[in-house]
Amino acid sequence: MSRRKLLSELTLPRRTLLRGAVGGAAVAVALPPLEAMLNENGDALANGDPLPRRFMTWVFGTGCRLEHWTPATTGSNYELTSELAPLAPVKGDMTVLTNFRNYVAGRRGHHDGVAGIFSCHPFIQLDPMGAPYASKFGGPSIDQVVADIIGNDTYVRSLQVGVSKRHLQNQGPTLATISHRGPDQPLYAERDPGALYDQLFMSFTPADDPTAARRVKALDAVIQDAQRLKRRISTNDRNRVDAHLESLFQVQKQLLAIPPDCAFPMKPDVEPYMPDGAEPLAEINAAMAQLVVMAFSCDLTRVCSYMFTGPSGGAQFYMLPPEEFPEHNTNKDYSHADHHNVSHINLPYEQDFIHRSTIVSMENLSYLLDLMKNTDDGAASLLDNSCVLAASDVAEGWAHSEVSMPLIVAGGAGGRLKRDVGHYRSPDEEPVHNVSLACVKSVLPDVDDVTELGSNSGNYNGFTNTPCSAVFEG
Amino acid sequence: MSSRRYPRIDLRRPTAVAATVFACLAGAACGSTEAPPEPPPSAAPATFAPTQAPLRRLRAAQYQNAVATMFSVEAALAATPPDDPELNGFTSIASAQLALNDDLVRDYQQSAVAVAAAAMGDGARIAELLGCNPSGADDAACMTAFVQRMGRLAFRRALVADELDDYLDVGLFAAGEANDFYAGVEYVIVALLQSPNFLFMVEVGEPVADAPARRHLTSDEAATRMAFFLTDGPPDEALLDAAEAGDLDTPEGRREAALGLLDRPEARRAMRNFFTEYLVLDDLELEPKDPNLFPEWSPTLARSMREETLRLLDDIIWTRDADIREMYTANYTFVDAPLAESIYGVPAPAGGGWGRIDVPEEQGRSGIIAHPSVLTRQANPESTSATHRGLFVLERFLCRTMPPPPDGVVTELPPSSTAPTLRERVAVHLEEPSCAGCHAISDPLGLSLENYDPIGVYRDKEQGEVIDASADHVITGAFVGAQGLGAALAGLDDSTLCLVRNLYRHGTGHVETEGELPLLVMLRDRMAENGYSLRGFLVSLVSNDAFVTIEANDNIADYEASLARGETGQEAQP
Repeated sequence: MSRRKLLSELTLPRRTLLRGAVGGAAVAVALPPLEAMLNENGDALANGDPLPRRFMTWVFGTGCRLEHWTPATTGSNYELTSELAPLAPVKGDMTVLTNFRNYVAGRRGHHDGVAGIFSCHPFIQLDPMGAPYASKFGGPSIDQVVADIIGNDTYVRSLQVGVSKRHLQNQGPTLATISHRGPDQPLYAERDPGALYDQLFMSFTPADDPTAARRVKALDAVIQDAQRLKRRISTNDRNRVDAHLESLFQVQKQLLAIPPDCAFPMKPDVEPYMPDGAEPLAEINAAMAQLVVMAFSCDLTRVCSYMFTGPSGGAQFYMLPPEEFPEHNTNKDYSHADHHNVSHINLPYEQDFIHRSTIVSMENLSYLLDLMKNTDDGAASLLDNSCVLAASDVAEGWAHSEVSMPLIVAGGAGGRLKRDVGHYRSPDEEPVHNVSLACVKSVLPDVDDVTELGSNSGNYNGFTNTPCSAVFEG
Repeated sequence: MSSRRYPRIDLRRPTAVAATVFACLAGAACGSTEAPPEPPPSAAPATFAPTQAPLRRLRAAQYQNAVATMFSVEAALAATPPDDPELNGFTSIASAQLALNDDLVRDYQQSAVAVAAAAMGDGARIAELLGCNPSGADDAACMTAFVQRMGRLAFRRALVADELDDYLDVGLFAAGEANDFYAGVEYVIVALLQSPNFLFMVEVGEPVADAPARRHLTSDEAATRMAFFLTDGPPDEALLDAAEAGDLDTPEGRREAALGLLDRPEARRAMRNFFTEYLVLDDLELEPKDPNLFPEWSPTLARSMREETLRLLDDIIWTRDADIREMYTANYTFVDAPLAESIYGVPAPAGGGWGRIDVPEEQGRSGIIAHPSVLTRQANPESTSATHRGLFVLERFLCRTMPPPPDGVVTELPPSSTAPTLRERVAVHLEEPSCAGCHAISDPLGLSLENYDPIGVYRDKEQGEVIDASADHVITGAFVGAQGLGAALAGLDDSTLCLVRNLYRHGTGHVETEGELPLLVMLRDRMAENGYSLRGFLVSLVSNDAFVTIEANDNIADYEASLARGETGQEAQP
């Protein structure tokens, strides 16, 4: 499939929406790296700046079957296992990392893993007085560490998308999303492709809209109001109002933004549920992947978190009918079962179901990565200029195991990630956080610490704050 | 309650609540609660310690009701506030902790624009809010009057001078740009609806003599807290007027106001919102069920299930003002045709719609604990779950939480071919010591509900084996089936206290603290003396001095000192 053909399938004829600033106000939203903006070779901007790097975290919930996941040999010539087989089209663009350990662990399954890998902070437990258990991330997630620095020049600071709607929402923000600006600022994923489309491509203020300046003026008053309110509230609430203020400024900026000179895609048309109540996981994933790729390609954002299925979530894998398991001679049909529930049943049929569901998850990851690989970004591909950290919250769901959870780094990050490693197996259970840090450094070389643990780091043996050299080129 | 078979748990020790269950099982001595001294009816208990009142964002329902109160139902329908996340069991707790972000602020922006456009379509209401005839686009006096009136409704208090200036500025700018006074009105609404003073309940309070760490809510704040708690809506102008006249400064005044609010249909709706969250019935339509096993499962049936439960609670709380413990024991319920046919196996109500039925005796049901809604939610897509149902009873009706399963446990329940009933399959939980400690507490409660399948249909057998619904439990003692469980819950002081604690969590946006428990124990005891009327409880809670007492926040003293030094000139009332 040629790159050109694929993109043309996704997009409407190019339309030009470039226009002047609204009401004479300055607008600070970057335009996409069009050919006119590139140098002769198409590998940098005309002014010599490198093409923007994109950053993505991607999660599927509740782990895999290690015996079907872990490749038998290491190095670039490793053979894909059955669970990794769907990633064949991007095998040369990714590194499979095994035998890494999550050192922020030992308190609560799923919470430990997702907070450990995606924020490198111990999560905060909220378990008071016999109320239902809940937890928050202990610090910002790595996508937000990145977005805080490279997100301010784009229309949207970061995207949060999800596919399965059956994710766990009643144990606090930790399991509900992998994007957190801080403990009290979870960023929840959009799971409706149509709504995401509207947010990305239809929310620009038309050039002739006379109300834009009024809406900006209204926000001026709100900003004044919020700043006054801060004086008489608690310090903790001041932090919340500061977050509110930041977002008020961002939304005000968005009101004045100029749509990029970019071919916008057609609005996806996917039903949220199938007639029998199951989720069309693959169809929603395809729509979401296309929108994310277009958002990256048009430089509407450079950061995304992507929750295919949730940690400890109840996703249904409708595409896995019982007929595919004749060897078990069983009448069990888990095509509508709750994924997390099944994961805890350590019987052959159920664990085989987990194995098969992992293959489905990798098919969906592969679709996304392949799309990025087949999308031009200057002279290279979008995947070449991106870092994608794909992981799960546990290694095997039934055991909540914290060593060797699925861990894949894909993309080249504009040359900062190694591409020829293949399968790397840590000899000594390196911290997964070194992988998280390597990914952050691949787009932000100056960041040296994502743990912020300070004096607490002694409680979490293994923290080294060393970017994982298996993937980080430097 | 002399037949209580377990030691009482000292609820005044916050960590004891969850821990004591295990300590009791291990044979450790457990403390007992001494009844607090009886205070005057409206006074907080001597040991009551107030908590800080963080900003609480209006929940989506509260936002929409506020729009409906200010403008119209049509405007409320145009509103698109973002969904509410949940924390520790309630969305109101999340609303008091989490901060806004870009997506939410954008959602509120779009909602404000839509609401204002819809509000402008109701010329009569706009004219009423204006109270003046604008002489032209630049009629500043008329715009000022509008901003004052509208701002007071939106902020639930009078605007201060700076606020008035800022929003007037918006109105005059928009009116001037469009050369249309009403464009100014519209954008004043757009702006006010995005203000943190509208989106959040702000409770700063005023000083209490001789108690610098404590503050009393201002009259406006008290009206706001009371109205949102009892009706999920804002105080209307009449209540704000009454508050500003000092009517809510006394327990008697708050009692009168509470009785008035509870007579409104909005109070029923608010209580429905509470029970929907408390019983985890929101989005029941999305609960996955295996369509091969349960072809009758549908969003329509799910909605009917939730409505059944809310109708029974409506009947107990509002229609009959009866003993709230009937929620555990009622032998009647309400059904529509889908429930009658698919679940209860009784004739559909004549004439369509909903009808009250006596639950068929042979089904052994008992109040909401054997309602299809609860039984369906606390089950798997293809099977029942003794653990889920048991944990639900423990957590929601007895306020006990369980630790998660230890990592690496091999959950090898025997296959149903060799163990036909769930009781036989989960028996392994009790054989393994690392499992038994918790499952001995959760599973028996759930197994007592095994006569109801994953969508709550009665059954007496599972795979041909007669179901044994008997239980012996450390908290409840021995009992059989749903009726035994319902009677046990109704007989426990802890179940009533747990309901009260949950109402308080929902109403205040935080999990009750150690310092607040004496208040709740006192009000529970008073409720018991008052026929267990939930309505009565709501009135006594709102009237109590504790309801309007908060802990001073860490910046308020500095702020008021700077006010006293005259550093904030224009922040005084205009």
